[in-house]
Amino acid sequence: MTTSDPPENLWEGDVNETVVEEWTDETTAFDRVRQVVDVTTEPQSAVEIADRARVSPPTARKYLSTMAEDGRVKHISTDAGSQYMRAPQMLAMRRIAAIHREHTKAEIRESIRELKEERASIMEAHEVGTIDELTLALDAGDEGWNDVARWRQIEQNLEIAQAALALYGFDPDDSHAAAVRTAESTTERRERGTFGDDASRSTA
Amino acid sequence: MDEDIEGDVGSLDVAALEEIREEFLGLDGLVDHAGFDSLLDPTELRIHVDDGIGDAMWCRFDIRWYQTGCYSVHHTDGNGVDFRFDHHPKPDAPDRHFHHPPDADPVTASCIEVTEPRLVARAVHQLWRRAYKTKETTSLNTAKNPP
Repeated sequence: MTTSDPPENLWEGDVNETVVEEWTDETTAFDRVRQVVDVTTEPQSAVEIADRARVSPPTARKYLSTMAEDGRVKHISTDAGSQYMRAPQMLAMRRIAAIHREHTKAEIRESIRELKEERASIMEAHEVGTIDELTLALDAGDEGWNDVARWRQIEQNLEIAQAALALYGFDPDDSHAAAVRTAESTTERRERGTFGDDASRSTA
Repeated sequence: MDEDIEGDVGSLDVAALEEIREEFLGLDGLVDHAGFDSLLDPTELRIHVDDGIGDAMWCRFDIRWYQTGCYSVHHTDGNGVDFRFDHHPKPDAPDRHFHHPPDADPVTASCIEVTEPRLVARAVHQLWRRAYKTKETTSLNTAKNPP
C-alpha cells in the first residue's frame, strides 16, 4: 500500500467523472474486476460486472473464471448464462483469522455471550422470534429498522466468533507440542492460536 | 449514534469497508490511522485524519457500508462540524442524500452519484479536500469544480 502526499490540485469538472478516471488510471483491469467482485453480494453477469469495473465483457469473463478457479469468486450457472459473486468463505476466513490472531479464547466467549444477550433483548422488545418476523412487522420509516440491521450484524458476528473459537481445537501440525519444546513461555502463543504469526493485518 | 436508517439495508459489509480503508490510506498522507471499532463486533470503520477544515485540529470519518450498497459517511472534527453523505431509504428525502454542516441538518440530495465503495471513498475525499483547501464548507455537496 502506498501513501501519497496530499493532492496539490483540485479536480476540474464533475467529481463523479474525476474519481472514475483516477481509479481506472491507477489500477489494472484485473484489480478493478477483483475489487468489484469482492463487494458483489448478489449474483451478476460478466457484462454487469464489466460495466461496474470499467473493463470489456470478455476481459471481465476471463478474470472472473480465473478467480472462480482460485475460490475467490463463486460461479453460478443459470438458464440466462454464467453469473458471479464473491465467495462468502473467503471473507469469513479473513475475519476469522484476524479474530483468532488478536483475541483470546476467553474474549471470544465473552463476546458470544454479550451478542446473545443483545439478541435476546431485541427479540423481547419487539416480541418476535426471527428477523423475518420483525421485518414483516415494520413499516417504512419505523425506528425498528435499526434493530433489523443490528440483529443481522449480531447473527453474522456470532457465526464468525463461533468459527474462530472452533479453530482453537484445530491443530493438525501439533503446534502445541512443538511450541512447548522450543519456547520458554508458551502460554501466550497457545492462547493466540494457529494464525498468531501471520504477518498480514486486516485492521490497524 | 446518529443512525437514521429507515428501511432494510442488510448486514454491514466488512469487505467493502476494508476496501474503503485501503483507499483512504492510499489517497492522503494526512490520514493518521484507520480501523474498525472492534474485530469481534465491528459496527463502523473510523478514519482518523491529522488536520481538519479551517482551524479544526483533527477530523474523523465514521463509515458504515451495508451489503445492499447502502452507506453512511459521517464527518466530525475538533470544532464539532458534522456532515454526512448517506445512501439509504429515507421517506422524506432521496435515498442518496447529504446532511449539511455544521449539525448534519438540513438534508438535500447528495452530489455523489458513483456507487462502488472505492469510488464513493474517492469522491468523499475529493469533496473534503476542497473544503480543507478553501477553508469553507458551503460547497461540500457540489460535484462541479470550480463550484
